[in-house]
Amino acid sequence: MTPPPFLVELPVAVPMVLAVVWLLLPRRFARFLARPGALTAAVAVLPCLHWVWRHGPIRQPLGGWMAPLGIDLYLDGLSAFLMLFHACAGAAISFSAAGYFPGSDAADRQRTDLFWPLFFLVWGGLNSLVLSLDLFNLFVTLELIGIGGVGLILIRGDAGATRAAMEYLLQALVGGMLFLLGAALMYSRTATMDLHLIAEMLTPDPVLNIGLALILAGLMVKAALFPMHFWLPPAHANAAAPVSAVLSGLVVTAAYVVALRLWYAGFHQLAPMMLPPILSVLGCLGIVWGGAMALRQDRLKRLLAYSTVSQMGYLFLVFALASEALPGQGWVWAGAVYMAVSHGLAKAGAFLAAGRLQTAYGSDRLSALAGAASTHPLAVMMLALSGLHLMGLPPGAGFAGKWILLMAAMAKDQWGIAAFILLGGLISAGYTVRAVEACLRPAESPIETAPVRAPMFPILILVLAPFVIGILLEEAGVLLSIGAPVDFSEFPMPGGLR
Amino acid sequence: MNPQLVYALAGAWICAIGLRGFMGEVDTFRRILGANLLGSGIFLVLVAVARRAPDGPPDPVPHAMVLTGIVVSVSGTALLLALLARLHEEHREEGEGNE
Repeated sequence: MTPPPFLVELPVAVPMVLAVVWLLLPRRFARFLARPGALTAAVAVLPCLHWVWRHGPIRQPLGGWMAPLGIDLYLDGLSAFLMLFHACAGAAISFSAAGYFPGSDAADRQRTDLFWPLFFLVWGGLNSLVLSLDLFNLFVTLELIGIGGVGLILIRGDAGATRAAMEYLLQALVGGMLFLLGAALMYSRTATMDLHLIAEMLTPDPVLNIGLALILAGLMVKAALFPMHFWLPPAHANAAAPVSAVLSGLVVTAAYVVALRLWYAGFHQLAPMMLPPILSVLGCLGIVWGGAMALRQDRLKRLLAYSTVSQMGYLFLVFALASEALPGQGWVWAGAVYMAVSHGLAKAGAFLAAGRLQTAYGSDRLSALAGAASTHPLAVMMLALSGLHLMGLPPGAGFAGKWILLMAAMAKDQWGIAAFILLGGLISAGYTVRAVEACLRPAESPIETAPVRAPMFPILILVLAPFVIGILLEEAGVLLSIGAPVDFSEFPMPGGLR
Repeated sequence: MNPQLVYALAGAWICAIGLRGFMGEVDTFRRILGANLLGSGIFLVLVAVARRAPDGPPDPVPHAMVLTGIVVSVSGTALLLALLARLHEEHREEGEGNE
């Protein structure tokens, strides 16, 4: 059965077209486009989801050029799941975004107008990234997202944001260049950029090994794995709240997903013996370092940004658990995706909630937030709930992911990794309590708070979505197994597989 | 040692110089130059990779990639320099305000 025309192209095309149309239309008309546009971009994913669920994965050659020369879009369970994640987070962020930009004077209004085209550009780039199977197309979409992200950080327009944006762009460019060099080395041996075609041709070859190392190094910079995370906290903490939500919730996750896809497409065969342990050690250091720094911050948004560093460390542990072909690898893979998506949704919600508090109190200093629990109880509650996802408490998807990784670590006798998984949960609990405790402290004097125009329900959706995935875990697993390169037949249990 | 390998190794050497500049320098302008040099080295590697057979026509795909890569590199560098100029401007204004 042939898929309907433009099925796979739609989730990429709709946000991209919106970004361009926005720039072409006069501003006063374009403003009405924001929320309907975001809803359209979210709905454009549903046909893909339906098709994958019913008929399985499809490869869509673009412009009639087949691989190896042409670029194919590949729609499988993972890309449908991630596009649904982008749709959910993107729609929620778009519904609250306008409330965070005080549109009082002309300069502010002009700034707000910059948000939407860049937001749609990044959204289209993200969808295109998860649909790509071509190394070069992955490079282009990563750069697209990176440059869009820089523009989004700059909306704030102060010196701190400019400095953070410059550092972010520099790192993103170099990370992208390392990725491109690795891709070039791969191409020199395989004469194709298509992941699946390259995976069929992999043989032990130093050029290919160096290529994989460079590609992973580039992705690690973009996913802010310790010690390549230094650009992240200033960038994510200095941006406006909806921008932080996009960057910390969606953009870093996307770079990680590329690494995950490459690894499981067969590239792990190229990894030298010591690479998975190195990745897991960096992941453990990231968990501890990011968590310890989060515990020391005196600003709420910096705390959340360092928490992202800590959570990205978690995600890289999976590479040590996936190094051998094990039955039930599919669940480890799905567990990593659950954790990544759960973190993305919860962190976007947390940044939006932090933005509400920052708008109300004029600062995100923890010491200035005393009394917030009585003036803004809902925002503080959302912050606490998103913290529960970061800790990995049931029945959220973060819990499921962490549980699966823990089981797999014990099944492989990787007790060190299991210990760090548990320790990371404790550290997450520590910094969440620190943030919430600052809001629960009674205010010494009655405080004047500024009115907050951003609506509450998008944050509620973001914070509740991981619970929904957690409850529908079996269905999510079935979706992820469609077209997956891994075996889902057995669940990893300690002692169950050796 | 064929010429293709010479070009590829030269490209890798330029990459190493660029990477060292990016990671080792403190001055932001020098780091931007390092990142730019890294890009140039990669493009040289890609052009060397394009020559598959010693006599036959070169593979056009890496050439197309070099073109796209140059677009990304040039626009990224331009944006970086614009940001650096803006920061410089803000610093100078602050300095004048203090005097």
